[in-house]
Formats: sequence, C-alpha cells, structure tokens
Amino acid sequence: MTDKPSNDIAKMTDTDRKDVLKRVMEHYSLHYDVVQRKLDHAQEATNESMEAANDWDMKVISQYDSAWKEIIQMFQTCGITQEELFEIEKILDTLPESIRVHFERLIKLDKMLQTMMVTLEKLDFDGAMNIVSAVQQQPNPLSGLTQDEYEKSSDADKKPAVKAFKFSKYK
Amino acid sequence: MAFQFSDLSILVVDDDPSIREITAAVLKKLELNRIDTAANGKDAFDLFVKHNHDLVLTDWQMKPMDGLELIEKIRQDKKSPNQKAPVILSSGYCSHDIVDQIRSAGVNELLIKPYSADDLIKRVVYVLNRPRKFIEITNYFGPDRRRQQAADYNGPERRKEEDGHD
Repeated sequence: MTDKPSNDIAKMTDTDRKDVLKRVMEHYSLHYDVVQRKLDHAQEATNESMEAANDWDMKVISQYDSAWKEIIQMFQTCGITQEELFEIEKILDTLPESIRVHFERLIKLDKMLQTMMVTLEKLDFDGAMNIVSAVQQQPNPLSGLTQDEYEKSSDADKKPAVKAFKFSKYK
Repeated sequence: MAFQFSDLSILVVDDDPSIREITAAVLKKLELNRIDTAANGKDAFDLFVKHNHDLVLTDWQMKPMDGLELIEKIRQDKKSPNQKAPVILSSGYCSHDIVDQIRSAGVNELLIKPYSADDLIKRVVYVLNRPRKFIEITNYFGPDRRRQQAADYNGPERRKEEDGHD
C-alpha cells in the first residue's frame, strides 16, 4: 500500500487499516530491538574507549557511561515510546570520536543487527506513519479530543498512576 | 517520557492473529506485569474473570462474541470481577451511529485504526491516569459520557427549574 492523502482516509478498507497498523507496530517492535542492541554496543564502545583516554576525555566518557547505564535500566523497567527511540538514536549519532570509532566497529561486526536494520528500512515506516498521523490528527469521534489534548491531559496530572521518566536531560 | 507499567495487566482481544500477536509483542516491550490475549469476547471474558486485568484493549467485530458484547459482560455480568474495568475499543469505523453504539456500551476510550505504538501507549496512560466517574441509570452503566461541562451549566436540577417543576 502507498501513502494516501488524508481525504482518502475515510475510504480505507478494514484490510488497509490493519495492514498499516501491523506495519507501524512491527516497526516499533524491531526499532526497539535495534536501539537496545545499539545501546549495548555503545556501552561496550565506551568501556573500550576508557583504556586509551586522557583526563579530559575520561570526564566526557564517564558521562556517556552513566547515560548508557541509566537508559539501559529504563529499557529493563519502563515502557519506551518510539519518539524516545528516535531521541536515543540522536544521542548515538553524536558520539565523540573517541567512542565512535569503537562503536562503528562493533556495529559492523554485528551481522544480526545489520540484518535487522535492513528489515527495518524495508517496512516503509514514513509512508505508514503519514496515514496514521492523518487518522490520529482528527478529533477522536468518541471523546472529541485531539491528539494534543490527550497528551496535555495526561501531562497535567499531578500524581499519575503511571510513573514517567524524562529523557530530555540527555538531549 | 518513558512510562512505568510494571504493575499493570492487560487483556488484548482481537480475532486477527497477526494483530493480536504484534500488539502483545509491543506491550511486552513496555515491561507490563501481565499480558493475556484472546481471539473473541467469549474467551476474553473467561480470562478476565480469572485474572481481573487492569485494562482491556478490544477489537469490535469478532465471533462468537464481539467487543461490545464483551463490554456488556464486563459491566453487567455477576461473574465480572471488576465492572468498572477500563476498556479501550479499537475500530476502523467511526460514523455517528457507530459512535453512539460504542458510547452506549460503556466504552472508556475509542482508538481509531490504524494507530501507532505511541498512540497506544499514550492512550493507555491517559485511561489509567484519568479514571472516569461511573454512572448507573436505567439503561446505562458505564463511564460518565459527558467529557466537558458547558459554561452555562446550571447543575443537575436545571431541567426541573426550566420546566417549572419543584
């Protein structure tokens, strides 16, 4: 299925809707595994970079080391949104050179990760998400609330039943 | 924000095995306490009676018992361990008639297909963090269907006054 403009959303069949739903959910599931695997490599790369580090490098590397520990802990105890998976990848994209060389080598050696990344690309996430966004941007027919209003309402709670952890400190 | 779901149990109901499996796989990554799946309302209700899930995510059209019938059982059956259990119904249909049926069935939230993992996560958080008051009247038992109070709302007795009754 290809991208559909929002005025065609109403014409989507049940099969089309399920197809898009499956594709974005599969993407999340695989994306989660890819980021988790990359984080393990980032942690290992950080440890390797410590061996040849001078004092100044060591200070920066230690900050990354703490960040990986905390983010990996989040993976083990929390629900992480796909938005956050992309945020973590941004952190991985801006690694200092001293860690990056080890990280890239570990990534290249991980054949399973290479296969997962190729599969992830093939899922056409952007095309499916255009459709999802067009559907979800409409006010909910039952509640009348928009996507933004749902998010604001959840954030406004002072004592949420579901505890939240902010990734923003790593941005 | 990452959310902590470690105390949460969810029942996923869908007659499409691939949707059921991928939804369960996504929820598993959220580190939930318990995830059960069922292919129809009948099997789902049996599981609900046994495990009293914190939340039910159900599709509508299934046989032999559909999603709305499942909600009716959860809300009204004597065997139901929690008649006020939050239920999210997922559907691709949203005409006025259909929304009226869904509202009358006692659904907490409607999630229109297709949705993303983030939409699902955020709606689960919304439902759990903002429990709705339940009301019981002659033909309805379920979450309060009024989401907003009008600026000129005069209270529950306003109609008596308008009609000149005591």
